[in-house]
Amino acid sequence: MHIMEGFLPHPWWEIWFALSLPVVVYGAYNINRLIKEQREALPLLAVAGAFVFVLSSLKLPSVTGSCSHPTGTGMGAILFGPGMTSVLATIVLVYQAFFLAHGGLTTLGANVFSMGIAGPFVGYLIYKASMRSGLNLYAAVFLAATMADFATYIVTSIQLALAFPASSGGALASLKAFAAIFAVTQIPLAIVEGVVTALMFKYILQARSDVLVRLKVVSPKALSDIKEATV
Amino acid sequence: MKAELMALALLFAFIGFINSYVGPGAGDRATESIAFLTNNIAYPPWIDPLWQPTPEIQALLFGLQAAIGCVMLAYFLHNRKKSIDPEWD
Repeated sequence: MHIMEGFLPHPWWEIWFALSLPVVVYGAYNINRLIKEQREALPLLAVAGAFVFVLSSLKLPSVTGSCSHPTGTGMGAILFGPGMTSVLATIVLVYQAFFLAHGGLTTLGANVFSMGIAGPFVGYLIYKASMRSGLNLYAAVFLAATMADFATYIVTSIQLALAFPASSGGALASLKAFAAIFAVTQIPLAIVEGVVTALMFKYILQARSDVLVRLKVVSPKALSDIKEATV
Repeated sequence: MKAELMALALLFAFIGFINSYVGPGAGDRATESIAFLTNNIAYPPWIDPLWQPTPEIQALLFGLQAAIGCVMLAYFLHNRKKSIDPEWD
């Protein structure tokens, strides 16, 4: 779950805003460039945004007795990188902060950083590393989406631990407490997100493999290998 | 198209229903932890949300969020049938 309105005291909410803003601006610049130079990729950008919209609306019960929701940002990170995904996440987080009182406007910077930047960045790195190591494409997508989701909530735990160090034990003791809530709750949901993302990616690959090659998400060689394996 | 709209409506209702009946959010448990870890010094929050919907309205708006996303995904998946690469079939 996102950090709620007013949770983060001064100076933490300002710090997270300052860290997130340049990435979101960079992402918006890249989207603008994509619109001008690669219009054929726009439907995929819409799909990545829709994916975040749907998955982050699913509040699901988890093993710890509390509930949480997937983030859906892994797909955007794989297709377009963390910069553009941060813009998609920001749109969803603003909607949720305004209309649902879920998250908040003062905590928007922190929530964008965890869900829109850190999580997608981890997912993006894992996807690229997996593809270089020759891992199966769908396994790479699963791993990247799962870890993007999980990393989001690890970062949320870190943000809360830094803002609220325990009276005894400091930030490290707080991190353990928050990670026990957020990270453990998130494990099964992250796995579900990984599976759903891999399935959706399969559809995208079948429909627009040409665009994926142009976006350098999949190499022509990897694509022909997959096609051979499917035939 | 009728079947797609029906599926969307069902999904919308299902998400609203699920969101009304799930247990406490991880955020609620984090609130308790903050109070416990800091001996109640750092809590309550310093600002309230501009608008706090009732749980029913919140569930409805979560459903609306899912529906917006589903319409976009359904549009893409519908068009996918037209543009699918014949090599995959």
